[in-house]
Order: sequence, then structure tokens, then C-alpha cells
Amino acid sequence: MWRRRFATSAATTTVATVSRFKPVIGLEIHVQLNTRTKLFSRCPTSDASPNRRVAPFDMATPGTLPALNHQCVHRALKMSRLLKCHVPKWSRFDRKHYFYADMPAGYQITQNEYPIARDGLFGYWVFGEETDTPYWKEVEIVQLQLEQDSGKTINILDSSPSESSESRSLIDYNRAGCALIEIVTSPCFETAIEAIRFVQTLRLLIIHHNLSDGELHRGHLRVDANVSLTVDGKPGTRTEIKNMNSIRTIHTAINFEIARQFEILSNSSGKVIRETRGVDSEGRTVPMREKDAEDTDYRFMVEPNLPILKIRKEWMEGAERELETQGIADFEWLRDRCGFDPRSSIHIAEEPDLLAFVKRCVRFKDSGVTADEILYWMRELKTIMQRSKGNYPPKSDFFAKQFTTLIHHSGRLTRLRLLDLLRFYATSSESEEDVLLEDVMEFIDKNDFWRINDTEKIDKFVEESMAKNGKLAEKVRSGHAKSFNKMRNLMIETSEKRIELEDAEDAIRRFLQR
Amino acid sequence: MQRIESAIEKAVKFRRHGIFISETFDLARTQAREAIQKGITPFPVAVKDCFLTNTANTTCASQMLENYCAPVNATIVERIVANGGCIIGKTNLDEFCMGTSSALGHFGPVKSAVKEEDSPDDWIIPGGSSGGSAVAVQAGIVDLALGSDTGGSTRNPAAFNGIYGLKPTYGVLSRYGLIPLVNSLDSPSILATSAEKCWKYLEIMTSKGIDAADSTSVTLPEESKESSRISSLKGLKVGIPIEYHNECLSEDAWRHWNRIVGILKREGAIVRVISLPTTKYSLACYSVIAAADVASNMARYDSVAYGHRSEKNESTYEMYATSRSESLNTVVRRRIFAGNYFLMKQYRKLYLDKALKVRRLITDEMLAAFNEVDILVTPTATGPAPKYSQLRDTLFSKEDDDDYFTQAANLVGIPAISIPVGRSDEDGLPIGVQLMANRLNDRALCDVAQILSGII
Repeated sequence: MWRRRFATSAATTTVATVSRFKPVIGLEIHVQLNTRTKLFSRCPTSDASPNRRVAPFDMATPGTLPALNHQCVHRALKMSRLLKCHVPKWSRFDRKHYFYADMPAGYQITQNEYPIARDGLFGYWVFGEETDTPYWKEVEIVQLQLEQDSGKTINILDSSPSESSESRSLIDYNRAGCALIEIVTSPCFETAIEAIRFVQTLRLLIIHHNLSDGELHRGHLRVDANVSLTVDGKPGTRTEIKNMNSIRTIHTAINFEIARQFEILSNSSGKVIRETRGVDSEGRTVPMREKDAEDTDYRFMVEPNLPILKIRKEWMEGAERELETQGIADFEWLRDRCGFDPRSSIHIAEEPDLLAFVKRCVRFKDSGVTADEILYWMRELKTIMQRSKGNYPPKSDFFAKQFTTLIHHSGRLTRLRLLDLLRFYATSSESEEDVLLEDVMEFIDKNDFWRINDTEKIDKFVEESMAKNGKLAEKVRSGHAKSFNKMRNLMIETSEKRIELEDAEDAIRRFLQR
Repeated sequence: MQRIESAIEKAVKFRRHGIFISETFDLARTQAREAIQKGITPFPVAVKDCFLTNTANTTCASQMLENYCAPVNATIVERIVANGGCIIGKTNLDEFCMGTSSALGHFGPVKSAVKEEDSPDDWIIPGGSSGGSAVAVQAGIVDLALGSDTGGSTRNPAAFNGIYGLKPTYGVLSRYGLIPLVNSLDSPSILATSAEKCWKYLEIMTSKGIDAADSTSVTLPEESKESSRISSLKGLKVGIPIEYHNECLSEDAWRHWNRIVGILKREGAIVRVISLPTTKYSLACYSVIAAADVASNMARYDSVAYGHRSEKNESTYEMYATSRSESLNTVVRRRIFAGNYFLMKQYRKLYLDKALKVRRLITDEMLAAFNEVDILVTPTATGPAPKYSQLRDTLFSKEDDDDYFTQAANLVGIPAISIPVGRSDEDGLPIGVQLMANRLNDRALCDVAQILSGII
């Protein structure tokens, strides 16, 4: 049985807040669905040069009408289930009006009053960068809404030396009308770490279930954070942070914003302004839009060209069936089935090469090998590979097999011998010589590399070594520490690394006491 | 082919009536040749300039779309052309279909051809907003004209020009490619010289079933087409809604409406006077719903990707504002203003949400009436077509008076047809009567209209 080895209780909050101020963070996450065509037009979503993926509807050609892409509904239903949301019997599309150059209709078709899903509760593990004990957290999902993406405005600064140097704005409608699911959470996060662990977990899930390609830097996942500090329990003014295009940026930007607001509020006359802030290259939040978001009236109205979206029972069942067939995500498998701790599970799942290596190891592992042992020896292996300038982790099945075999038999080998063998197999198997290599067990047997446990045998090694090296033996006897170590190493060397370091030391001590 | 050439000839002859915004004679000839090759008899068609065509500009009679050529054809344009329709031209209308005079469009007014003009500065109003389409049929240029009908825009000009105007059940004709006025009220419609032809063209345009591109599209039940056919007026249950006899109704319209009811009785129909008390709220209800949709639908005309762009473009918002102010007429701008007001957070509940409730009441009441009767008979307009000068002097308020008779059918989504029943006493101008039936009873409606017309 592989067992979890971490605590399940909530740990104490880690942010260095003075008791008067408490950060409150809510997230709005836009997930771009990876459907073949757009949300309301049959236009392909594949990559192309600017304005080559634009159906008449996508550029708001008058008289064209939306026709809902059922695949998007299907994916939204899957997402609803993953986030444990309630899916009402029907939902509706609304128009949200505002003028923006890359939003061609002057409104976005979204779901405002009656979204496809609401009231979810999603549990995940929160862990710090280093040593904190992971704790389980449940985030409240307010709602899930299907909506259109906008186009992109590309600002070109004309750097030509002519006197009328001016900047131009060009618009690419390729993205206009692509399907988004907006996930709105309640302001339930207390730290930046809680927020990013949620995003990381969500990301792995949506990739696993093929809802989105999930690349933050490519805009498949766009995260906005609402941050405020409560003062003595009273809610404070919040700011909205946009344009965070990596997990790291989300982390630093939220922490920066907390610190910035803390700084303002610590001053008795300080006031946080309600605004939208962007993020600079250092992860600092900077003012973006001054206008008070509360005052924007989007003049919502029902989208008249789309009937009410009634969710059929078989759609829901189809979504559930597919989730079941797809099974649990890799990070869940590592965590719940293989016994990896939450941090390592996420970390490994986020790195395709690591994941592939661990999967191979798990395939070959003997029942006695634990997740912690694999993690321990992977760290050793990483050091070895860094020194030998080889690729970490090695990619071959053969190596993974030898790796797990070695771990399984680690009790019967000395640490130094094991490291030697790892180095040997890791560097050799990389060069495709592994076909010529024999199985590590055979290799050990043939060379008799097994650890010597028999104290009598070890004592014999001490006697021989002391006898052979008279001068050094004298120094050892006189209690010279360096010589002691030298003698020990000599012993290990002569035993061809079959004597464990501690065993050698114990034996020398025994010898001296005789 | 001869029919197409004669249509072109007539179109040229009637140019001073301002019927067409774009003439597409060569296109018509090409389409005629293609039809003949397929063994189909070509026939001339006029298309209201609010339907997209990818071979000719689609302007909505607005400076905003003065040079706009769409990338696609409207579904019903595709379908009519595939069945032998040859597009002679795109017809003139009220800017963005807002109005019932066809007098204020960017490309000049449409002038009725029912009578000789007596002065170049004044003319008989052709009705609207499908004024150009109606005159094209009345003048004998085309066999079929496509119109759109949001509050009466096809039935009103049909009545004023003494022809037939059929607004089918909402959703029966695809709206894909119809530049919207009010999405939930818009019905592509048919102008022709008989009720039978109206049905024939409706059948052609629905023969391929529902249009997947229009999610609100519905199909006429196949069985109803035959089983619900009506061959005699005997026993037909006819309702006369008393509220349609209002203070605006003219002597002429009243007399002809009465006469038709008399004929129905004589032919053995069971005529009952019924009451639709909420009908009187339809105008107010329509105004709010329409304005909200207009504000929303018109938001796309920001001059970024297409449409008129102002010279003034210091900032993006200035570019939007001036481009729109310069190119949209007062009627359109007023409705946008009103619509944005009705959509505001603090007013939506007060106006738009109320209007939608009233719409539901009007609908329920009307549909309940169809449990009692098969057909409703009402006037189509207050009276005969006015002169331009009359409209201008009353600040176009007569437009609203006429809308009163036709709007309810749009709010409820039922089929309605205007048929010519006679002429006014004084000027001998055409007078129409409107027949309405329950949803999807378009076939029966056309049958009754046809039988009735035969007797008149």
C-alpha cells in the first residue's frame, strides 16, 4: 500500500499580516476552450496569420446570426462537474454592451443572469514553496459562464524618423468569437499561494480533460484577481489585477498588491482607490484604468437571436461518462494512487519529462518501493546528471527499470555503490548503449557488488587495512580524526564500496577498543 | 428571359419613383441564364436593401452603409435565386427600416406609382418601410419583392399600393442575412400581386426546411399544409376585434372593413365581435422593445471594420461618435438614444422589463382569441396613403397611428396578410384589410385571403 504522508488539517496562514489587516482575494478565470470551431460560428480556431480565421459573424457583419456550438456546451458541462457546480435546467445568453475596438458588435454575448452553472465547491491542496505542511482548501465557485472572446488590438509604434511619426492600431479578429468559459470564484482566498495553487490545479485538470490547451502565456487561461484588505474585519476597497500571464506573475503581483494596499492603509489617512491595475515585467501592479468599474453600466439585455439553452439529461450524462472514461488527472493519480505528496504531485504533473519518467518508474517499480524513495533518489539522480552534464531525467524505459530495481534493493547495496551504479546506468543508457548493457541485477551479481553486512567479514577488512598501512594505523590509534577518515575510505575502497560508511566506522572503532 | 428584359425596361421607366437603391440588371440576366440552363423559368425579383447580397451593395438606405458590400447572401435570397428568382435591384426603404413613409432615406424618397404625380415636390407616400419593394410589385416591374416586417413594414405599403403583403409566422422565413431592426419581431416578408402567389413564394423559400444559421427558425408543419387547407368560407369562424375601431380610423377604412365583414357573413362565415383590450398598449410596448434592440443592434456600426468613417478621429471614441452622428439620420439616432435609456441599470426594470410583460399579456390574449376564431379581420392602416406634405406637416405622427393596426401580429409572432379591398372615395387610393391567423397557420391564412379576394 502506498500511503500519503502529509497532514490534512489546515495550516496556519503564512502571510505576514498584522492582525488588523487581512487579505481577501477573488479570481475571475477565463478559460479558452480548445473546440475546433468558435462559440457561435463554424469558423475554425486553428492558428493562422491575422484575420484569416474570421467568419462574417465574427466581425459582426450586420444580419448574421449566432448558432451555438454544442461542443462548447459539452465542455462547459464537463467543467461544471469538475468544479462540483449546480447545473440549472436552463441557462440564457445576454448581451453586455461596451465599445472596444477589438469587440466588433459593440457587445459581448455572455451569460449574466442565468449562467450555465453556479454554486460550486472545489477542493485542492495548498502548499508553500518549501516546508509548510500542505492543507486542504475548498474554493467557492460563484458561477461558470459561456461567452465570446474578443479580437486583439495590436499597437504599432511608428519609429520612422519622419516628422509625422504616429502610432497605429491594427485589429486581428482571429480570436474574436472563440469560446471562453469564465469561472468566477468568491473572494475566498487569503494568500497568493492559495490562489496560485488553485490555478495550477485547475490548469492540470482542464488539460487532462481536454477542455483547453491551458497555456497561460498563450492566453488560453487568463486570470484576473480582485484584491482587498479587510481592516479590523471590515471589507476594504478592492482593486482588480489584469494581464497576469504566468503562475509566477500571479503570485508576485498579488503579493505586491497586498503589500501596496497594506502600505497605504497603514497610514491612517491612506485610501485604496478602486481601479484596474496591470502588471509590469517585474510583477509589480501598475495603474491601468482609472475609471471606476462600479459606474460602468453594461446595459445588459437578453440575446434575442438565441433560444433559451435547455440542458438535456443525456447531455449531462454524456459529460459525466466522458469524465469517467478519461479517469483522474495525473496529479491526482500521483497523489491518490501512488502516494506522492501534494506538492510533488503537482510539480511532477506540470513537467512532462518528469511525469513520463515517474510514470515509467511506477510501471517498473516493485511493491516495496515508496513514492518518497522515488523522490529521494530522483533528487540524487538530478545531482548526478547535473555533474555529468547529462539530461535529467533519462528518457529510456531501460533506465527507469534499472532505477526502480536499484531503489528496491537499496537496502542490500551501499549508498556509494548505488550512486555509482546510477551514474553508470544514467550516463550509459543516454548514449543508447543500453542495448549492450545487462540488467543491473545481473551486473551486481556478476561483480558481487552486494553490501557486506557480516561484521566478522568487515572486521577482517579492518584488520587487513590496519596491517597493510602501519604508519596510518599508528595515527588512527593515536586518535587523529583525519587519519581515521582516511583509513575508513581506504577500507571502503578495498571492499569495492561494499561496506557502508557507518559500518566501516563502527568496525574501526571496534578494532581500536579491542 | 423576355420577362426579365421587360422587368428591366420597366425599372428604367419608373426610375423617378426612387424604387431601387442599386439596379442589378446584369446580375438578373446572369441569374436568368443560369435558371434556364437548369430548366427553371426565371422570374424577376426585387430585394429590399436590408437583405444581404454579396454581388450588390446592401445599404439599409443609410450613409453608414453607403458603400457596404456583404460577404454573404441572405438565406432567403439564396433560396429564391436557386428557384429561378432574378434580382432586378435592391429596393429603397426607410433608413434601417425605421419608419412607414420610405421618404427620409439617404438615397431620397420612394414615390408611389398608384396615381399620376401632380407636383414634383409632393407625392403619394408608398408606405414603409418596404416602400420600394411594394412599388416595384405595384408597377409591375417584378413578380415578387422581398420585404421585411417588424411592426407592419410589409403590410402597410402593400395596403397603400393595392397589392398583397404577407408576413409569415415568426421564424418561418430565415432571418439570416436580414439586417435586424428588432430581432424578436422581424419577419422577412413577401409582396406580390395575389395571396396565392404569396403562398407560392413562401413555399419556395421554405422548401429546404429550417435554416441552421438562424436559431429561431421554425418550420411549417408538413401535415398542416394540406389538412388545414380551407376551400370555402362557410363555417369559418371570423373574429372582429372591436379595439381596432379607434379614433384614428378613417371613414374609408371603416367602410371597407365593414364591407368585407359583410361579404364574409354572406358567404356563410360565423362572424363574432371580440375584444382584445390590451391591444391598445401595443404601440407603447413596441416602442420600448424596439428601441432597446435598436440601441444594441446598431452598436456594431462603429466605423472600425466597415461603414462610414468620419474624418475626425483624434481619439477612438471621437471616431465612433462623429462617424455615427454624421451618417445616421435623426429617426435612427433618437431610437438609439431611447433604447440606451431603457437598457440602463436603473430604468430597465421600469421600462424594458415592463414592456416584455405587456408583450406577454398581448400575446396570451391574442392566442386565446384563436381558441374561439380561425381568422381575425382588421383594417391594415388608418386609411389610404397620405401625401408627403401631410406627413411632414404632422411631424410623421401618422406613422404611429398606422402602426397600431399591424404591430400586434409582430408582438405575437402570428402570420398576417394585407389584401387590397377597394379604393378611397375622394382620391381613389387603395385601401387594404388585414387578416391574421394563429401561429403556423400560414397556409390557411393565404387560402382565406385568396378566396376572399376572388369574391371581391
